[in-house]
Amino acid sequence: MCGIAGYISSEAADADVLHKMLAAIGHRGPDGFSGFVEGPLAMGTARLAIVDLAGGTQPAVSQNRKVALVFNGEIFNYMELRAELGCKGVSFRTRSEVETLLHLYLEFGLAFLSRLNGQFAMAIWDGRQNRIHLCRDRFGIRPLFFCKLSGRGIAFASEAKGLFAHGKVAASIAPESLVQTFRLWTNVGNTSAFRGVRQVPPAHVLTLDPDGNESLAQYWEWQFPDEIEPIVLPSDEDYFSMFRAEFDSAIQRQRMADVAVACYLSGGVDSSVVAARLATSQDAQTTYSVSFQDAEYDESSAQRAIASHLGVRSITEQVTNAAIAAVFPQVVWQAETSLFRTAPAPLFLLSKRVHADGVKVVMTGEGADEMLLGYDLFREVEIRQFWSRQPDSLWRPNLLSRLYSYLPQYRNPRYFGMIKDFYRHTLDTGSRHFAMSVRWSNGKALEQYFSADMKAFAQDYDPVTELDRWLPASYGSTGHVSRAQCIEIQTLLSNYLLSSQGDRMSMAHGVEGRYPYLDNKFVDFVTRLPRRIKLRGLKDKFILRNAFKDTIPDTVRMRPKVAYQAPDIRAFFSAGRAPDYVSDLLAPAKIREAGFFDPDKVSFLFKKGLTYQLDRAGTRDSMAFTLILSTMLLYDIFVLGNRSMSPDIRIPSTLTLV
Amino acid sequence: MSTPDDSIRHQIIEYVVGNHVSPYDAATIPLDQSLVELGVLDSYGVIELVSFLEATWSITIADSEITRETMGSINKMVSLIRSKL
Repeated sequence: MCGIAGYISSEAADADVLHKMLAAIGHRGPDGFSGFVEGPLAMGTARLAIVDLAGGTQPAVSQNRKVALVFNGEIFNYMELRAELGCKGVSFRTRSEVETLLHLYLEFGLAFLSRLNGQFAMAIWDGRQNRIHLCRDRFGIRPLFFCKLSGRGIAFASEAKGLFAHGKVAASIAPESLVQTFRLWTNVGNTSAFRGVRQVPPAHVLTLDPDGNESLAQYWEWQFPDEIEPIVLPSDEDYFSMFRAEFDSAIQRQRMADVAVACYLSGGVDSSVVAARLATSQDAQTTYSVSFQDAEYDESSAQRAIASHLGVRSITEQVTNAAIAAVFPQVVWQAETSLFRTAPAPLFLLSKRVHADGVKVVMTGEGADEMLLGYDLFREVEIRQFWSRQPDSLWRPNLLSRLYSYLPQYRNPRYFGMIKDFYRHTLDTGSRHFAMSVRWSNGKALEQYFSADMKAFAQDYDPVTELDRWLPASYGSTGHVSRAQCIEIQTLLSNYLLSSQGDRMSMAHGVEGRYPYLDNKFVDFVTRLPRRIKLRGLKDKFILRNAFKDTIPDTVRMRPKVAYQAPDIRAFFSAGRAPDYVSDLLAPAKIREAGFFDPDKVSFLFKKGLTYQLDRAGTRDSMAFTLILSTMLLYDIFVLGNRSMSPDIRIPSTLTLV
Repeated sequence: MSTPDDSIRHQIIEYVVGNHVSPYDAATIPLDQSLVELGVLDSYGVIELVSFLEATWSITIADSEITRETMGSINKMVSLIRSKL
């Protein structure tokens, strides 16, 4: 696990420039910098040593020095692949993954990518063909950004700040990104928050030459469950037992490390099952949880119940509203995008604690909601479809009362008539994005905060068209639940949960996340499970809740889905005051200077924040505030360079060349 | 004792444009359309609005009245409040 960076220039590459790029992402790999500089190419890693603590030196370079590879991540089946190469007569100097990957490339070319079970971003320089391949795992667990250099050449890095450290790449905010994050919650496809900076999309390999010619190839695609042959078993119990076996194998593969593996515990069923199964596979187990001062968001009673049931050592990071507000600039600096929620902030604080305890690897429950149909979105789609078949039915819309029980307007029966009226207009199942229409129209309403220029831009730029470019060809002909699943995987999972809440927050403190629900083999298995075993009527994650009946307490097992969220707008206002940086960034003159938002409307929202009376602010206000503040921080930090940001862990001072 | 419609309407309009960001101001906000459908209020905004109406006029709005039919425009809200004073 590391950070990677490099560039190809029009002249001889400079080790000092590489060093600067690595230092900018040094929090990802505080165990040492190493690089390979040859002719116009420089590439290197900031290393976090987890597997083969002594022998995993990077970059891996072929004997003739023509091919070099840098790698960030873990390959869970690399020992198998290494053994296979051994049978073919390949000899190894170390037992590291990176050397195995180099030999796999030399042996099979890029075809080896589809054989990897892992989470990775890597760059392979092939001097024989004078080009570089940038590759990313199936779900985008590990990040990889790139840009063209002015004149000739290209640069890549695990984080955009690594590109900006090159010295020839200037940061400016891409207006497309604002429209995307306001409407769809995340960036999509290969885009980033910055002009000219792109991501390698998950499950893709991008090949570039020094002139900037590029070709993009997808080596894997998530298949719509409706389009593949399902696994057919005689009884529910048979499914449960197969599920247990597959899940335990995933845990076994993913706990590969030469260091201890801890677990994040949210209090929900997904992470509880991970904690429970991980506890059976290692001697000492520690779980890390977040608890909130604000009771509306706190899940600590469920966390305590599961930890005491499992008899594990549990550590809880108490997060106050003031701490969220205080740390938010650093969170945005790490996330490098506009954020629609503050929920990454507590995870930033949690990984700091994990790092301080000397722990380098944590498993989490991420991915279960997407793979096993846990989100209320999927149930909402089912109910709307069911209702649309008989729009005059009086009882069908009553099913809506079973959604979003963590939101006050759904929880309180008083407002149920209004909820029904609201959904009554959302029953057109013929619409391509029927599943997402409610969320996206809420997002569109936030464009009211845009400046006149941004509004004009948003008139001509449709983020859904951008997203459509990246959807599978058969998207429009598969069922609406599967379409929702596909969109959630491409947007929320890849570009928010695994990045803004995942990689960026944990790697800010040199902590690596592991995601057993996203293990390739496990995903292949659950995709082939029939829908009714995942979503049984309106019972979400049916198989997960039942397969592990005896493993976790019923109070946790049957808990309704609670979205992990943190106080948003309310975190920034206390006793009629906001932190100075918030007042400064949202002041009309500053808003006008940045040019993205309407100063009057931002002031209006700011004043509303100062005077909130209700327990929980509305979703729309919270989201608008968080998006606007994070965008202004992004502008202030990256474009203006006004805040000198630095990670709170030690960064190595030297670069070793191989 | 009853409050004239104009005054009630005025107070509702002041509240809506003063507390919810929208493309409208006090002069342009439509009086006969649903504020939810216009995008002025999200579902949580309705909670805030109901709390405001109940507190301002010391009335109780029944669950069955929180619907488009009874509250689905500013003018409908005026009638609802009038009926309770």
